[in-house]
Amino acid sequence: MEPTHWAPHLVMQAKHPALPSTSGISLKAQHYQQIIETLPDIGWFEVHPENYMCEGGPPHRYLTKIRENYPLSLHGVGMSLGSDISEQHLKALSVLIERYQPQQVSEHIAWSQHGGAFFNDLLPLPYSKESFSCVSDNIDKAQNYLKRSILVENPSSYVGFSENDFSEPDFLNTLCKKTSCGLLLDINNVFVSGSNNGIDPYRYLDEINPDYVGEIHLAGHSIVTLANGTPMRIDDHGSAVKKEVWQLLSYFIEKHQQRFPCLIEWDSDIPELQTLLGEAHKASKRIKLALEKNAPR
Amino acid sequence: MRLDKTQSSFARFLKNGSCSFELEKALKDYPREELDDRLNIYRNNVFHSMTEVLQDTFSSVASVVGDDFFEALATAFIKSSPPSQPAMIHFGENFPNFIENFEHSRQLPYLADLARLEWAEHSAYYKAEAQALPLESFTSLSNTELANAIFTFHPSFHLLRSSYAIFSITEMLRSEEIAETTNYQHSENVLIIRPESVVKRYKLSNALSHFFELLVSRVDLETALDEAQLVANTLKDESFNPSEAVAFLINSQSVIAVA
Repeated sequence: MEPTHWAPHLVMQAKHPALPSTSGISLKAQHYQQIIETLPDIGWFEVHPENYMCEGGPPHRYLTKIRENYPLSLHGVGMSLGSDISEQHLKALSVLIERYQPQQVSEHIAWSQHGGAFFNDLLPLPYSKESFSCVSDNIDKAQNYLKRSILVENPSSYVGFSENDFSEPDFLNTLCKKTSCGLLLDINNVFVSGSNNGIDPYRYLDEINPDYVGEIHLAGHSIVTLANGTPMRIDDHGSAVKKEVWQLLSYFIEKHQQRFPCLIEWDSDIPELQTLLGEAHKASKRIKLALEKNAPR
Repeated sequence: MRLDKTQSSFARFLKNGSCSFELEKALKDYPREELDDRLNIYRNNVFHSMTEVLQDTFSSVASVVGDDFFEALATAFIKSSPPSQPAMIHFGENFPNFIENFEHSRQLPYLADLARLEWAEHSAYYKAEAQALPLESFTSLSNTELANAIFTFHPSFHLLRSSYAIFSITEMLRSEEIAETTNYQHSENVLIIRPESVVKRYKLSNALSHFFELLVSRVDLETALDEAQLVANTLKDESFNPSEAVAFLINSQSVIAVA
């Protein structure tokens, strides 16, 4: 018999309404004031909970006001699902969940801590059976502690490992099945990692089970050339979404004819709020077009 | 166990930049130069992102020493005391002590206290909210009640004493004006507080600092005023004035409860 320890999450999940299947944007401190003054037309906001793991101060004042008007997603960067997760961190996260009642909580398939030192970066994992059991145990631990299911995001990566027991999509699908977590499908990461590691991003998307997808991420990336001429795509979230990534989004939506909450991430060289809203609007238009394309006439 | 070994060697690479045979074996078979370049993307991200965190918090320190020196200082600090928790808003608490012992910045003896001032401002920004007592809460007390009053201070209240003119240095650095050459070899005390949404800082005399320190240690108002007056007399500081001290206590929004 399959173990059923994950079953409580399914019950818990029902208590938390999901994000609306519309476009959202990253909430940046630069835009706080303008957002509370103008209440722009956007489906929802996403924040990194680590930036709010403090007792008080202006970030909480703004987020409280914004939460009164919009759905919210907490997208963590520090849990380190691929090494050890700390109870102190889960506690800090659960305090925020209690306070803001977010529609969604998500994390990354990565490690960012080793031997008690944090690296403030999302480091890559081999897709071995050992990694699988480490990540899956940690997801269980997090979901049990937080009393809700979370989404996990596919990483961007600059190296490949020599020995893998799973392809990345297989690793993710199996994790979702085993732990009843959902998938945060970052299409920019699919493209960046695919390009850096020689994987066809379309084939990758074909392997993803859309029923696990709870949210989509889109972002910009930059391109550098290594000394031996190898081009590398860097996931820096510092520019507009690239054409190839928009095309992958259209492909995925056309194929599955489903709507998903879709986020525009922008974390460096942050532009005017209007630019982010424009990108979110573009995402909504793309999704609408893709849904119309295959719709029965 | 294998995963732990791979992560150990990856973490060592991040710290010292040398890729062990173990790490090389765990990764795809890249040409050596390409392998280093790929791994260095992670290493650069790690140091760059943490240096940026420190630069945001310690902007005055960065202005004093310049970008290149600050980067070297930050890199040395990150290697010696990497963050012990994932939320970067808590990273940098030990930076002032590190600066104090950093051999290349010894010619700038005030730098560590400047960093302490910036950390105090940074911390005050994120401290718990509390409502400062309004003027009426004080005026409604009888003279005896006021004399015996013991105060609770705002969670963001912090008093920093320095042997250097850290308040003046910060003012100069943030005013964007080219300052006259000034002697910074005199002590200054700074009160840092965030009663509402903005962090405020005030320069306090020794007598006024003593007054606040006594109140924070829950000495009653009358005793604190008397003791502070003694300090002022000893230092021949004629600027100390008990009624002005009380007015400042109220106006700085330092007090949140009175008993």
